[in-house]
Amino acid sequence: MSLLDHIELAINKGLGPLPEDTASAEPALATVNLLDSGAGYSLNEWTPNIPSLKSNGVWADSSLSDGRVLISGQNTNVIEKMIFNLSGATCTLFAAAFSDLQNMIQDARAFWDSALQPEPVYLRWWANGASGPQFALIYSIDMDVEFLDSTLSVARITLNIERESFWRGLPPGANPKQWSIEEYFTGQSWNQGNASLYQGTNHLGYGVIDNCQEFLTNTSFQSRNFIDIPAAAIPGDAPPLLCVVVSNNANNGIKNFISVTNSRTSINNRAGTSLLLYNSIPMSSGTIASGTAAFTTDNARGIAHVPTSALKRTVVVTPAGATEVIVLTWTVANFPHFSHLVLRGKYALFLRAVQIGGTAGAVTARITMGNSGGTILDTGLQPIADDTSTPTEINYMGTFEIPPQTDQVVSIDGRGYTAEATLTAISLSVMRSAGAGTIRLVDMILMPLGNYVYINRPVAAGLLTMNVYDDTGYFLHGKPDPIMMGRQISAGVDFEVVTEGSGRLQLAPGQNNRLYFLTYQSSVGAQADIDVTVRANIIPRWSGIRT
Amino acid sequence: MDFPQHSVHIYQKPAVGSAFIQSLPVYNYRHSINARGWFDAASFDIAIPSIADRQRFLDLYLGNRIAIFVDNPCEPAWEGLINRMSFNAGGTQYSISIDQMANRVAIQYASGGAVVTTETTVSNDTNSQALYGIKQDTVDTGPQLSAGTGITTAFRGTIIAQRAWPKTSRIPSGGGSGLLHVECLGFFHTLEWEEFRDANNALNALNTAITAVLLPAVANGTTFFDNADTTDIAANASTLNRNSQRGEKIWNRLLTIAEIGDGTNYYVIGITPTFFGTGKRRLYYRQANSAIEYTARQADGMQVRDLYGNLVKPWKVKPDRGIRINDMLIGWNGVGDNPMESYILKIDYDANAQTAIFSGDDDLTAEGVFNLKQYNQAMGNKPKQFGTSRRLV
Repeated sequence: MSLLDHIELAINKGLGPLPEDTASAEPALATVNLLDSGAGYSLNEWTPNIPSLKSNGVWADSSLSDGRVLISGQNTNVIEKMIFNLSGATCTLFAAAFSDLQNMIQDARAFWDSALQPEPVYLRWWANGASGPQFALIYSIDMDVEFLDSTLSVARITLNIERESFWRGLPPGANPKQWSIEEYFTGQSWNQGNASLYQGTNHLGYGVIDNCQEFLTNTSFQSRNFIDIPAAAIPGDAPPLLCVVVSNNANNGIKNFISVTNSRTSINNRAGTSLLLYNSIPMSSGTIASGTAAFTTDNARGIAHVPTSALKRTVVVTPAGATEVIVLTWTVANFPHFSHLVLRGKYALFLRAVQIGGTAGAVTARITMGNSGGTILDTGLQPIADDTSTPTEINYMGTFEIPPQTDQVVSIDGRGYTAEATLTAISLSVMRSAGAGTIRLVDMILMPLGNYVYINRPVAAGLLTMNVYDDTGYFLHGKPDPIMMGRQISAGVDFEVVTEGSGRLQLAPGQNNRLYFLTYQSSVGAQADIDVTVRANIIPRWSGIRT
Repeated sequence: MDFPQHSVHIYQKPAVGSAFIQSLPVYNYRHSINARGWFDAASFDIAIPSIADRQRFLDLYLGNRIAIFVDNPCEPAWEGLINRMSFNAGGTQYSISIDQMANRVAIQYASGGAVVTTETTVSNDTNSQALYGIKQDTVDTGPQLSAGTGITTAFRGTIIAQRAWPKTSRIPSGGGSGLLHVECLGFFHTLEWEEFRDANNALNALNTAITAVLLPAVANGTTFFDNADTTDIAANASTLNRNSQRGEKIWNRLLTIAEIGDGTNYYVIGITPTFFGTGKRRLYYRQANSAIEYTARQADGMQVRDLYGNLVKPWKVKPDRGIRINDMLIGWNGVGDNPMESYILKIDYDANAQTAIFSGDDDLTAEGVFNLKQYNQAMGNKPKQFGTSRRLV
């Protein structure tokens, strides 16, 4: 067979019921099989295309310099031409097949601009040499018809199909769990019993995780707030689609920050564990200015100040008053992991801290970071939330970049020029504008900018709650927009609640990816000992033939 | 690839509440941020295919708070209020706006040839105020030999009856685009909705004039920002008489205070972005920041970069800081201001072009470019908007 001897090529509409689901509301799959000669189809020509740069991209281009630099580039939809003959032994048979095709075309358009056609229309293609079928959502189809001279009813049909940029491993709107069950786990079959996105442990990424990250050694953890999706689980050459469900293991509302890192932004040791230090720069390993602060041993709210310690500590600071005073500093010895080579990138910085007592808004805090070249971060005095609602809070402090400029070859052994090994000065200062009030500090948390989301679900007590991030299209029945939502379970019924979500997550195919989670509960705030269960599934994508 | 996808988050009208309603992707997004005021104006399109849905949007979301998010969920690229919405349907463009709305009206007149004007008490439409906040207009009827009820009462009543709610207009237009066009104003514009009068005769330090005189006089209270939070008001011992009897807008009075400076430095004033943790905004008044925080190169079309040369995402570029053009007049050591360096008074961002255009002092050329409602006066020029907004005769 040659490259273009397709094993399957069809236009499908809908997803069909789940196997063994006797109560499904999904209509049966409708299909136009373009390789079915018995139905009158005879494919003449179809060459798959790849996406190009939309509007040729946005470039920095000046007559004063050579060349030009891409500022922003997004993918176009792919437009492909398909030419086939459609014939029928009788005019009636031909008309029926032609009508089926027309239906598909009208439905493909109506999926986008009408509320009455909710079934996605997509291509199903199994290429010669591919490991399985691949699918692409169709945005529009234009048809041109040329009736031919023949004893049969024959027309040469030219379809210009506009489809999404990449091929995906499941139909648009399909439950992403299907990929995990059919392609990743052995010995399991895809059916209603295995389809849950928020139950069971058979998910591509699964874990019951803590709400902080504490290192045991340079490469192992005594608490972790992340799950890993290994490179082997993400085939493809385009970023996969992702569905993440975070289930609260206590009955109250949650807000989540979720971020993604991959091995490009870290140093992978030979065991494949990343030396990442997102999260948990503990306050209690800093040097405290005398007379202004005290450690407290507070198991629920603190984190371990040294590896293997069973004692969880926080730092409680009494601000000096309306004069800003540095109360905590860190140096190289505190953070062997805090290397530029490990941590380079742009971050949003959070301070897990809360004002205790006093007038709300009276206490403010500032974090500065520097290296020998100067200051790379000064958050300014930021307001700190008070403890009237919850005993621990996450305070957003601003964004910064480590290191400022270098992006050289990564190696802890040094290749060429080793960037400055660590930051030399991190300090935290506090001030209280009026009245009394202290501040309880736990840790500083870094979220990679550009690859994190915040799901802000309204508080609801007494219900099992979940937050969902999904860009597979499952929850939108095929529409490609990413969604973030909260769901809650009450008396066995789960339903969606109005949720504010923003940001975007993107995994890197063929690399180890790590998803970090930071959780805020409506009863205890963002305490370090909250645990949640996370379940992640992906749908891989390809530009060309599925591998 | 990067994610310059821009989304609008729609919240309740500030006078009603602060809850989140929904978020939508936006197209053709532009915004301007001004060192005086901060978030100034923004416009974007929303794709709502059905005409019925667009009409529902117009009915529900005028005056609502919005925030635009791009890549950082904790920090919006811009935020403010929906001021105007318009869309094409068939051959007609339909537009609705709160520009001409006034739900608190007073009449000003000079009686018997007097120099000092008299202002009637205000008339309120409290139903409109409960939704949109207090938006005041004062109409000047000029000199009146004596003020009859036609002037003091009837006229005031007519204005408020006609203008207490958002006004609509329809004009012939080209075919429908399926896009709803939305224009927004920053929160500081709500300080142009209120008039300030003070009959007292006393000198105040400039910061005291803000904290003890002007902020407490904000009739909208904490609706659009926390007028009780004076943390960001810097001290300035220069004094100003608090007396003001010509019906200045509160914002104009604040601008006067800012433009006085301290004898050496410009000061800037405006409404801060919403703090992520507290969900509140406050007024800032501080020395203008002349530190160089951005660089640029002629060789690549003046894309804004940080001090290390990295490109700054254009939606993150902020005013009230200096920028230096690095590849111009290298080795300059002349007399006077360094022409490589400018103070950024205003930023105009266009998402489609992925560029941020920065305007310096006394640069009015950007005003017409994006056709947004703007407020770009050179520092040191007292703005002309002063006194009543409407005048008869």
